[in-house]
Amino acid sequence: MDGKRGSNCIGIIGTNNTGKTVVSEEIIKRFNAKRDRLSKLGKKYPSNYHKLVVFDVQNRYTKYMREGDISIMLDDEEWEDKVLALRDSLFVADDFKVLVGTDKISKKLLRIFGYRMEYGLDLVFIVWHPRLIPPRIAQFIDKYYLFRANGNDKEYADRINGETDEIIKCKHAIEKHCSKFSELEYGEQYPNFPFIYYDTNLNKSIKVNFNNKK
Amino acid sequence: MYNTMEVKPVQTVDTVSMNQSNSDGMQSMSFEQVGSVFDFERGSPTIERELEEFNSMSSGEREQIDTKLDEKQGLDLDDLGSEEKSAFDDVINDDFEEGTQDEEIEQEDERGELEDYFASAEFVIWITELVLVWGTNFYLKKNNLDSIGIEAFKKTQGEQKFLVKSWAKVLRKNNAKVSPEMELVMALGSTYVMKMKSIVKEQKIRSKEKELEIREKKIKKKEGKVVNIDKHQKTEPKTVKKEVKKESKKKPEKVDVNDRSILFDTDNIEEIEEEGIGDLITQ
Repeated sequence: MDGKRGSNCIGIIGTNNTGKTVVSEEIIKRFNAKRDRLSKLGKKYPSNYHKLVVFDVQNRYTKYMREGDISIMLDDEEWEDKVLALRDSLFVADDFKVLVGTDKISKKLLRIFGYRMEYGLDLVFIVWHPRLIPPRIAQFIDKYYLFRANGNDKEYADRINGETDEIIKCKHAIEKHCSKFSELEYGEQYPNFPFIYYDTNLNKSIKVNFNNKK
Repeated sequence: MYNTMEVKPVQTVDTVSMNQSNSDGMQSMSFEQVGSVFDFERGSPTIERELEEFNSMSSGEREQIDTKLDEKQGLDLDDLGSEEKSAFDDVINDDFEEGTQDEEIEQEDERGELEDYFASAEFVIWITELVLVWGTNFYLKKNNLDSIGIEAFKKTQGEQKFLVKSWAKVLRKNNAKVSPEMELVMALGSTYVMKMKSIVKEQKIRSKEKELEIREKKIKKKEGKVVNIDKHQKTEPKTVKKEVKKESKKKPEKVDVNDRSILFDTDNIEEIEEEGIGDLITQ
């Protein structure tokens, strides 16, 4: 087996203008770099391999899309089928709650989570409040990018799958760091906005872009 | 910034060197290091089998599959089904059913917990409201403004629920257990508050009823006066007529013979004639 079995299921949480979309763009760039690297190797793949699927309300990802990539529309009732058909691909859903609507998730969506390892799907979900992560999905998300966000300790602990103490520590750390900046100063951090990377499997939290100049 | 075209050696979060540990025990990294998790080519038994099949096909067959995939915007799950698929489906189905049940149980538990906290929450809310009313009235009086009642802090159902939830959260967070004595006080408070509320309501209704009665009486009195005045105005002409009639009847009795004017009273001429002129002469 050439590839490594696995999947990244990432939840990005942060209020408006904290850098969620910027970081998700970085993820897409990284994925595109991988696609470039693989194409240089000269291997042939079926057309459902290495695709980017986006739910992009703000049209921020269009510039990174390539031939065969899929942009999901809000009224697309078969989007889960499209994602399920892909292999070694990246799915990014900006404002994920808008796409799924209620907390009750469909069987098809659950199937995406079930097959993500087998199909090599990297899933990125962006929400602006921890409460907007449907509880059934929270248990599948294994990595979080925590930006400054509203929500109390309990909401974080409830909706983030991991050790409660560590999660709350992350929440307080990002809040404390962001409180140093005025809104203008925070904007100047572009594109290296501070956030905390929390890996639920390892129960390890890492400060990212915390060393930027104030 | 990360260069998209740059081919980088694969690194993992675990292998990459991390910066110094902070006072809170967290390590620092740049996104470039964290993002290394996206660099891998993914592999799995399904992917391996599919790629093997694909690579064993002729270029014509590959094109056919690609067009089929493009038409469908993805592969048909049944076409690519594996033995694991059914196993996955079973797990997912079980998980889904368990999940929905779990959610229902969670919601019921939450409801039950809120009910437990409701009495104490209501008591605390009431005390808070009283303090707020007192404080606000104190401020208003200082500024020579009209004072307010507890009604000023009327809440919607949603607000009430939110307050109860918040109270429950505080108790849960601090693992606070209300002592039986305190529970008793709260229960007494909440029940008597309810009673007081109903008494106050009844009193208000009574006072309003009294006010209404007084008003009705006043109105009736006023109406009565108006009626008397009208009657008086209507009967007055009748009495005048009666008096006139009486006078007219009495007139013949008081006829004065010496009054010569009678001679010119045509109305009395007949009566005089009837009584007899001879009698008058003899008198």
